[in-house]
Amino acid sequence: MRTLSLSAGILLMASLLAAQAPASLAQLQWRYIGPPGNRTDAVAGVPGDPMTYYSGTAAGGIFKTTDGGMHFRPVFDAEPVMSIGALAVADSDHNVVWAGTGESFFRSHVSIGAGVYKSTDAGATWKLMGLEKTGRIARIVIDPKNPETVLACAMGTLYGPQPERGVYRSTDGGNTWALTLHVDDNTACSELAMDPSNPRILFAGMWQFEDKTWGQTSGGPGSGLFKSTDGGQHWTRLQGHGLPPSPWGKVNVAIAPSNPQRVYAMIETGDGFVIDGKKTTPGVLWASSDDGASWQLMSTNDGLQSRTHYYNRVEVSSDNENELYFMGNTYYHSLDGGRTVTQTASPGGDNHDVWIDPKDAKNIAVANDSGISITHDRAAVWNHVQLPIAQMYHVTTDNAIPYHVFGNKQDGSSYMGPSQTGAAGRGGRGGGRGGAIALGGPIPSSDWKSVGGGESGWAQPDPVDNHIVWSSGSGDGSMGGIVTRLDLRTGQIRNVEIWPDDTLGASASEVKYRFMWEFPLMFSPFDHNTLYAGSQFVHVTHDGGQSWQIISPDLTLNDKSKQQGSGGLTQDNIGVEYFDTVFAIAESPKQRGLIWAGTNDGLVQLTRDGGKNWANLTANLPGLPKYLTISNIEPSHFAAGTAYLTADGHQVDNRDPWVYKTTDFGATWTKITNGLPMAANGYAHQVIEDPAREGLLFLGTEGGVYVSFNAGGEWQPLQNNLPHVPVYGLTVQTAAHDLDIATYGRGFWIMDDITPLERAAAAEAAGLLPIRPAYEFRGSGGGFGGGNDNTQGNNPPAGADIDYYLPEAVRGRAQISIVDAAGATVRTLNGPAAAGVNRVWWDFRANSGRAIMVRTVPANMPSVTLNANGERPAPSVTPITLNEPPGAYTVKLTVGDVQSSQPLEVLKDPRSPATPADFAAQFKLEQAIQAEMNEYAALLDHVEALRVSLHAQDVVLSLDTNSSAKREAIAATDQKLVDLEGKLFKNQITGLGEDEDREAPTLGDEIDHLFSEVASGDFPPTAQAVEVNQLLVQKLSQLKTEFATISGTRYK
Amino acid sequence: MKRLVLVLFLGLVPLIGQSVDAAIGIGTAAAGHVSGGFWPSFAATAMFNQHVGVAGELALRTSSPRNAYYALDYRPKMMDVNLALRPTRHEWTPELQAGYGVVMVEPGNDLCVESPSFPCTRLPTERKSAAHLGVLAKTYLNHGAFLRLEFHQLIGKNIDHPSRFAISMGYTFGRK
Repeated sequence: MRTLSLSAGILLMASLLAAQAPASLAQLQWRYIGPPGNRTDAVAGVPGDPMTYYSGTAAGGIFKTTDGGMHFRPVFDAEPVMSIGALAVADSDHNVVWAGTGESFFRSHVSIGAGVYKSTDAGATWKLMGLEKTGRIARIVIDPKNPETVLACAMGTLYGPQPERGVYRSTDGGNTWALTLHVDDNTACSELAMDPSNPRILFAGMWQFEDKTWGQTSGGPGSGLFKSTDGGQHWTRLQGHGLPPSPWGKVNVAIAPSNPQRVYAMIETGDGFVIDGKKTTPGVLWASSDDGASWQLMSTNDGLQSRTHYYNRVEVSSDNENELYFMGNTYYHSLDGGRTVTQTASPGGDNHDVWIDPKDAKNIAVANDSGISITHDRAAVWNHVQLPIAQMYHVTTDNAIPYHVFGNKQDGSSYMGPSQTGAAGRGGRGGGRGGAIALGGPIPSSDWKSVGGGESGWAQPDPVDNHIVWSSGSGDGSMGGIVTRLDLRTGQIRNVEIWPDDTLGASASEVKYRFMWEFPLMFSPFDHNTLYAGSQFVHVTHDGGQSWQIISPDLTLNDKSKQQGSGGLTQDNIGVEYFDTVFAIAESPKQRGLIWAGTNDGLVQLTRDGGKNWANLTANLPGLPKYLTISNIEPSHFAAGTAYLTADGHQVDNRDPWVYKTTDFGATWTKITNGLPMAANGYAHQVIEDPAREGLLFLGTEGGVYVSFNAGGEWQPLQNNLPHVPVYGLTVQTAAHDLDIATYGRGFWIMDDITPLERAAAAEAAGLLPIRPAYEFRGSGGGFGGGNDNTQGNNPPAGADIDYYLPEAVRGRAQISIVDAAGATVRTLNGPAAAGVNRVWWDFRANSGRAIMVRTVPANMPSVTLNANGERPAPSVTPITLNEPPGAYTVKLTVGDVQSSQPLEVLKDPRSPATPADFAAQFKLEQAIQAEMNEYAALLDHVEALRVSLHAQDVVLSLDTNSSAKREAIAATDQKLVDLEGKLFKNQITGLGEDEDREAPTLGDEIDHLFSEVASGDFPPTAQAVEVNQLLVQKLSQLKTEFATISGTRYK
Repeated sequence: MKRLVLVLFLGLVPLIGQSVDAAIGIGTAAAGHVSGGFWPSFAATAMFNQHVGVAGELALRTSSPRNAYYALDYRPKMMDVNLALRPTRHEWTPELQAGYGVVMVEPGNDLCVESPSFPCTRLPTERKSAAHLGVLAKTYLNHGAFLRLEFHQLIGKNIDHPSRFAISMGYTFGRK
């Protein structure tokens, strides 16, 4: 009965939270930790303003700089979609900025958009202006004289035919649109160019293209080059007259601003390669000198457009019709209209979009896979700026304390970085000379390092030995099943590729094992020497990769018709479009040998005997469409027969969320998607179950992150401060109870301490929630940040997080008291009193020591000012605040009528060698020194008060011309006090400009210094520290006596 | 309160049969350690006839005087009551005042130290009285509104001859 009640309570609370969220969970914030980011794909500047640029990122929103790139800040985070395809600033009104969403430089792992947005306040706020179904916007052009006339180049999703592809035109600022150029449902608009001197003249490049999981097809009769002479209302296809014969693929077009008769077209023709037995047409760049009437082949250099679907952009200098910039994997520059090209200083790797200032051709900005690059000297020197926009494929964590976060970054490698860094010495005196890095500060980008793997796939730290990290992929991606094993102690990386045969350029049907771009590499939860990997088979190693065995048959459809070369006119086979592969592998933590496998052709397989026998369960998933990618399977932590899975159909033109649950080993499945939005970016990537609470699920989708308290019965957003970026991966770090996520556009984020979610039942009554044990990290330092690092991560606030639940908001603030084991209140905090879960952080610090203030300014420095109370902090001497040592504490909450308490265990850093006796000895001396400093502060206050009193007497006597003798006596006494003060603190300095160097140390400085020495690290005090402290006690006593003599009091 | 003051002044006009000046001003003072700062002033003059009347004025510092080394929460004040004489009526009408004046230095609060062994102490107060001389000149901006320049001087034994300068604006009720 009691169990029933508890269960009912848990369910009740879960329902309550489910009903209240997300507002009730709003204080559970996400924090970005890094690593440095990569891909931007759209850029725009402000004509004539070399300092202001907008950077459209692949899947991380829009960033803006107003200082030439020194600092960038996100300006699009409030919007529901983060992938940017095009940016434009109106020439006639620089406050009008347009953003087209959806990345236009296409690969199989790019995000999607949902319309065009307009800002009329230079990016401060944005408004959706329609075209939500267009998927991707490759270009927006604005009439240079009329910002109300706008044209948008819409690609469509590229995953299937749709009527929303083509060129849209609006003459009312985007309130209404007309589709004025629509070739057919298979053809995208790939480029749009407007004559800046005559906006009636436009050229449009059209591109027949489709992407599926099994391949891309570029080229066909839909592709072409079109011209309008009436502002985009009507269009004419340009053919012949020097243009290449069909078929065409992607088409790019650019008009020379300095001579609009000069037009360039970069056309995907196949570069003369033989494809399917047919020779294609050579040629890359054509030019016209008569406004498109006739054309001339200028170049056959296929490097100008590289992998066409992902690049293909040429731009003409604003003041030289023959000066061209080619964006691609390789960057080219031409001064003769493309006849000859040179590889000069590249703005970055994998260049995409380029903006050239129409008023000053020296100012150029380039969007590339390294970030954004800006030049002010016509591309001689580039300023490369990275942004916090890393595209992470998955996330894993090790078991170190504090733990590390791992994952593979698009256009990077596999990465390892800290979940938190740095620490302040006890007393929190970080900074200044030799100070440690304070907790709560940034995580510098230098704290991240490569761990050997490639840009896709998985990085897996050994769950037992934190020095070993496995990664899939290589510098060339995960082609061929490359697996690396790094030993962090030696730095040695061993490639233990499952089948070390080169597969670059091969179609899936041509390789022995089909290892897809991000094939799974997963540990067995029972044996850290057992790893599984997936091709069309499940592979396993038990000996560190020395040998691999196959433990399954081909688990896929093995449809050879969908294993052919990918790319169409420009073949592009790097393993990304390998179909019929195992995409997800997971062994149940409840039953050894129970292994789930999901394929990217839509199959779900299960073995319950370690691979001897496999069962295809796909038919048991109701409503699951064909060919979806089973993107992950999450075996339950609590029941062997329970599992959850996600299926991703966006590459087969299905963007709905597909999430399923089974409780009977896959015999039956239930679709669990209640509460999930059916949006353009609604497709699901990964579902996980919390390891501490059964049925608590987290889900990452292309548009955000969701939580379910009832095993998927209902979902609700857990977005809070997280931008609506794609969430590709999630994991709960078991010991820390942190939820870590990999976003494909804004790096890794952590929601610290999700125990309020895990322990929802405890929140049934108002009051404190159980507090997770907190580690007191000290002195570990960290990497060095440098300059204006736009990519540095954030540490959590220092100390222990304290959560309390309030069913409804309470007026005023909550008071939280920290009580030590002796019953003394060592710290009082104030916290919010909002409805739901409230959180405050205790930084292990006690209430501050006595303030050290003076009431005078240096006699030689009248420029020094006093505050409204007639005081100022004593220079070079600061109050001592103790960090409470590890031990048992009690937290007490008082808010409204609610009173509650919870125990808090403060743990020492597990790396610390200190014993309890060491901590006790250290803390005892720290307390003694603090007491001395407090006495010192009181003495100084008395001295200063007496000086003020003497001055007051002097003031009133100044009105009396017969008081010179009294005033001289006052001055003499004051001088004695000044002399005494010279022994207490540096009373000639201001504390500015490092003028502490100009006077010898005083008693205050010596106490201050000794405390810093004693409080550094977890160590007992040295013998000399004890000895020096005894001397300082004597000095303090002597100065007290001296003051008593001067003042005529019995000061003690 | 403003209405009450207005009624009182308007009531004085028929009572004494002549005019009443009300003025507010701003100035500064030279008075030992309390010198400097902004000193707002409030003044009134009631004339028995066109040449003779009585006058009074209160001036006080807006902020505590601070010298280079200390800050004290003092609010010095200067007050005077006088016989007023207006010898002539020209574009700039001079006014001579002679009477009794006081300069006061009083602490705004006690001096306290955060210590149980050191109770808050009252800082010293000084109040010096002396003869007051004032020289003023006013000009009318229209029928009743005027602009006035002021110089005030305290003269007495053992006093450092505090002086005050001000410019004030006011209105004459009952001007003929």
